[in-house]
Amino acid sequence: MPSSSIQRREAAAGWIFASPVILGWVIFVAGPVLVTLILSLTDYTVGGSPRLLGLENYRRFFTSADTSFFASVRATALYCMLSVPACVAVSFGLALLLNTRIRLRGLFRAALFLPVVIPLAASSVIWMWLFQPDFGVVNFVVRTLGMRAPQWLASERTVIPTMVLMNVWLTGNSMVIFLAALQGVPRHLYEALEVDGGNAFHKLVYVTLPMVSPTIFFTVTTGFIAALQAFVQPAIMTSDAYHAGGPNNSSLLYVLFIYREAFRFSKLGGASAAAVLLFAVIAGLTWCFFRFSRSLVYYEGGDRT
Amino acid sequence: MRRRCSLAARMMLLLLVGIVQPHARAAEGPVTIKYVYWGSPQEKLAIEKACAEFSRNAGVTVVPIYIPEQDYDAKVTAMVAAGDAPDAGYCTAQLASVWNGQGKFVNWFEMLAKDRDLKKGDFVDGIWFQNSPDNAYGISTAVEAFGLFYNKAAFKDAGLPEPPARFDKAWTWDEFVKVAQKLTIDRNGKNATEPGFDSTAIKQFGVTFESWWGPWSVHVLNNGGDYLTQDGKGFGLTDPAATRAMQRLADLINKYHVAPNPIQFKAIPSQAAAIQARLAAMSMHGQWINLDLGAAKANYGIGVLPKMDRNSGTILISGVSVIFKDTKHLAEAWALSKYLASDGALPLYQNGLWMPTMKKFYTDPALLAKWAGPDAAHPVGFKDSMMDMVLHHSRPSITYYVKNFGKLDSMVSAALDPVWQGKETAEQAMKKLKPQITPEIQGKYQLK
Repeated sequence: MPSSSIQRREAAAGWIFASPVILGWVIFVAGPVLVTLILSLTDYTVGGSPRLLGLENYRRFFTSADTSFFASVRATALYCMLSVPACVAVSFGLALLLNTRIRLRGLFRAALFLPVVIPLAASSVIWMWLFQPDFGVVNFVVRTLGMRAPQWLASERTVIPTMVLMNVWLTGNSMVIFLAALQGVPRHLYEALEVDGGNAFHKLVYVTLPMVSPTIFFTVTTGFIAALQAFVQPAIMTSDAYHAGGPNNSSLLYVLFIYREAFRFSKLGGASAAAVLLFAVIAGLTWCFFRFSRSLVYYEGGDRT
Repeated sequence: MRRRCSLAARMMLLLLVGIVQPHARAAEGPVTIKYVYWGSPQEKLAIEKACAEFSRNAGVTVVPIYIPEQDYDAKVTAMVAAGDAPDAGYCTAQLASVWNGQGKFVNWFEMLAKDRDLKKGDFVDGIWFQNSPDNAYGISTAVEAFGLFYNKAAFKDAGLPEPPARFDKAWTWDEFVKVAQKLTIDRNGKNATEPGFDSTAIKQFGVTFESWWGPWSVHVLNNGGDYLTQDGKGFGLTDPAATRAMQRLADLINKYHVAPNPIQFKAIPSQAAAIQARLAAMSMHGQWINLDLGAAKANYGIGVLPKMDRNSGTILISGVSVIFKDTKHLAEAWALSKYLASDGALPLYQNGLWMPTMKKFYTDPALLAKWAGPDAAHPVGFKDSMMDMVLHHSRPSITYYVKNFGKLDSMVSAALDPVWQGKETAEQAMKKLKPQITPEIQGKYQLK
């Protein structure tokens, strides 16, 4: 390696320019992750001096007579499995519609994006009122139409689907990403298909879907990561100062479980262990996505042709 | 995808900050005391005013720090973790009991023994948060009690006599259910005793109660049940006296259709709003509701709770007021805490939020006249249904003596949800819960 002073100076400058990010990452990400990992092996509570417990915190989740850990895992799994596909499908569909030449297109785009701008806590409160089974607007309409009024957030069976319904209303962000992707699909591909006699369905399946598959991959992956960390909805809509994620723990999403462990039960060691488990699951899931994406995602100009 | 705050990341950051920040700080300059508390907007104003008043008179600076109740434990925990603990303030019962185990609080009994102005006997019995006969890690922020609050117009319209306010006149449960049925009115104007009553479309419920431990535990205790067995080692809520009480409450919802499912009712802003707007005619609730009903000039009254197998009665219930041991200004923090447990809290007694912790406010006619009405927040029945009940027919609520309450409560609350929904009987739910909850039981505090 030839090492001129210019190269050294440039390397130094590079490190200096990159240092805010590196420092920030080390202090605010790597450090806390490491601390969490260590604390997860202790009985740390605030102010107490931590005692080393080994894997006791982890063991407790799986063997305790209190089954709320499993309830929480179940709720989170259901939430992810429903929310992510529903949100991706709806936002993709909306993007397709808004990508056509319709009247008032700008207005529709703005209106459908608007919910994202509202703070989630605020919209959660509003949805909670709308869904109130006795006096809420939604059930007023349902009853007026002569249908049986569901319990929405108040029933174990419908609480998660209700939150997913609200998420679908919040898909403006991925809709915009899809719109951008759709506008990046080269016109000549559609024209080529038209020349070959393809219809709208063929265009969707043979051109649009493959061309936006990296975007679908991106939204699904980030969607899963976000859904696994969902907190605000159940914290606002189905928790109060006394119990979290009701009814009967059916909406005790995992991060709410961590929160409860830490701040209701003052078991910060246990909460750290739960957080480490979540980290492992997210890391594993993301790895799986990338692993399987190779056969499902088409990158124009990539290795595969 | 929408942004979600990664809570885990923020928590860990707090922990890290707590570990690197040095705990010791130089105590110089004018004395500043941090006082943490939660509460309604009215309570916030009143506490701010009381702190300002104290600051002026005592020559110290009190910084009142308001934290919403739902985030309270998280925020206070973060403050303590970051070496920035408050000097004094409110604490939730579950957190206070954990932190008391780590010796984080000043002993009120010790302070009172040294104090020149006040002694332990000046306070109402049963308001101390104790883990042993001679250690009180906190005092009840206020005396608070349960009763039956009702909209007077609803009774007038139905042509029914108002609920009794005196202990010895309390309704039997059957009488109470009958009244509640007549007060439950569907969209077509039919009440729950009439044929053709539509229980799926109710405009005004007869009665409502919240699903947290307060409203149901008062009936369990009145009925002779208890949270834990006598020796504190076993789960008490499987006892028939307890399950019968809980089942009767659930029957109000699912059998008689006179009460809303409390899980559904969570979206209603408050019990006060429900009474005011006549979404419900009666509410089994705590006396702090007087604040909102009084401020709204609602036309309401207070009765005693109906009795089940035994007597009516009430429970004393409160948050904990504590002084942190790490305070650099113990004398000032003590003076402030004393002030807020006595004269400084008078505006909060007057506006209906609290009842006094000191005996003199109940026994001295001049002082009594200052706060207990009759006025907008203290209707005519107040003295019988609240004051008399507190002084003569009350017991400490379960948070005063059950160890590991936060954990136990989370399990009981979850297990009761299917009971309120009518999917399980109280007996089934509690029997099912017993093997799960028993390993978490840590006993009772010895108060005497």
